[in-house]
Amino acid sequence: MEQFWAAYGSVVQFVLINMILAISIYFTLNTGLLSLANAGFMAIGAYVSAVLTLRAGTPLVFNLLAGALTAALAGFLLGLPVLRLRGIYLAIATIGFGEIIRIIAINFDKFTGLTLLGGAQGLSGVPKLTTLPMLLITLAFLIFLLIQLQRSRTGRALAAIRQDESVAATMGIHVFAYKVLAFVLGAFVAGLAGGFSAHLTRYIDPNGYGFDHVVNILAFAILGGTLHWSGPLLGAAILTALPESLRFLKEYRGIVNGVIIVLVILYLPYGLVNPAWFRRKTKGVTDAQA
Amino acid sequence: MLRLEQVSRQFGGLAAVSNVSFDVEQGQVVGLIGPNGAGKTTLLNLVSGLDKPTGGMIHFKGQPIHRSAAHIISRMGIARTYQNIRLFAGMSVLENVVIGTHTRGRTGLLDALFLLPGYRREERTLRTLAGELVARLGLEDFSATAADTLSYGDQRRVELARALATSPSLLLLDEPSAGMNAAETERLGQVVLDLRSQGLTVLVVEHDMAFISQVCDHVVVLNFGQVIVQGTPAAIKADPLVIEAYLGKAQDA
Repeated sequence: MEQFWAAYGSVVQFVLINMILAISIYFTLNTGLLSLANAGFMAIGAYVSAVLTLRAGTPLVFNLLAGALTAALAGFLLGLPVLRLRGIYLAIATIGFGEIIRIIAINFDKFTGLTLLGGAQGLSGVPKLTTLPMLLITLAFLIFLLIQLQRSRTGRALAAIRQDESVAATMGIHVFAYKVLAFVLGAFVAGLAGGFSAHLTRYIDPNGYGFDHVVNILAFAILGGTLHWSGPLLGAAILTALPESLRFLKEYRGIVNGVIIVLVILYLPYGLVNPAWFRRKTKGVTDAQA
Repeated sequence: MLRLEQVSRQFGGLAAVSNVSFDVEQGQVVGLIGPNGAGKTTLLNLVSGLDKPTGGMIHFKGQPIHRSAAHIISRMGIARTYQNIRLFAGMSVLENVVIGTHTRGRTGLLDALFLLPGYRREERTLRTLAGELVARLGLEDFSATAADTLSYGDQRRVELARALATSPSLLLLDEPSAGMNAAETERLGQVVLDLRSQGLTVLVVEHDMAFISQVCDHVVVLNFGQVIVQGTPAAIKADPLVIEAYLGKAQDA
């Protein structure tokens, strides 16, 4: 066990952080919004929390929350204009936001004359403060939030918007306000993941939060499926752990990893978790009873 | 209760609705008929706020609503069903109707997250209310069934229950009897008459003249986006302009 932990302890923590990121993109996908701003929000959370830890020396919990709240505020300000866009246009606008954040991070010190974000070299020497229990507690809380959300009036409104915006509006649901809410929640959670990540890898690379990363996050949701909240979580776990467990394949690792993802998308278009499977089972039971 | 004044909707060069004016009085069931493409559904979209008129005014309970967002109009008391059924697929019949109760609830995400007592109470109230509507439309046996797996006629009744869940004072029905057999249509007519007797006002788009005669107090006939005639169902059926619109002009021998 100790040996396993020494070898894979950090992998487990990365899995958990990626699961938190998967939840962040689930909030928007579950509302029918294809938003790709999550890496940008993650960067905001990472920088804000790391700078606070390094410069202000405030406690980690405070710094993480400050990072997540800053990301949420950015999400609110970004959401007001871009959530009027739909489908692929929203995706493009949010990719643009990610690029803006990356460029601000790289040039911030040059323009302000401060030495705060470290420019293109990034920020190093962040203390390693993220611990396994912290990640587990956060993830458990977020899963509880998802379950409660689904059962609540708010969750029903979000699901209605995903299915048919116009009908949702004629039910008296303020579609735009709920979209902003989902967007801000996603930004908050992504910012939180960014803070955890910075205090785990001990280093922030501004280019690490670019387009590649957001595609990875989206892949969690595509592989796992978005019909149930557990889908993106499973997707994140597999896509983070799979490359590690395929290490013995050496240079063929990337190919096998890719083939597995393609096969899942071809043969399980709704992802790995499809609630219809459970439903059919329970329906069969009631049919048998009737 | 509902007043349309010179309402128009242009789609580019096409006038789907032009200068339509009529009133729907409190407690009336008003029929809106006309050949395909006459602009009936466009008109319902304008009243429910899914589309905005390019000209004219719509007043509901004395308030202008032609510039209001759909969710505001819904909260003012206008509910609707759809010609091409638009239920929330994959959700059960009850869940569909519970979504209709949205504006009757007050609780938000935080109430649900911290399991505040008001949250559970409200959930119970809304579910009971939705359950009553499901039963009222004779759907209690399908309450837990996925709504999109029901027959056409049953799906229309789910839409009606969902619309009623918003506690409307004006109900817009878009071809509610489409896909129903004669017996089902008759029963639907009875439901509409029951709703009227409880004080609900109804504007119904329909092709089935037997249904129109059964439920309507007043009928408005549209053709090419304009009102050609309005009056009682009996008068409408005998009107030469209406017959012409549906069957074409008689040729002199």
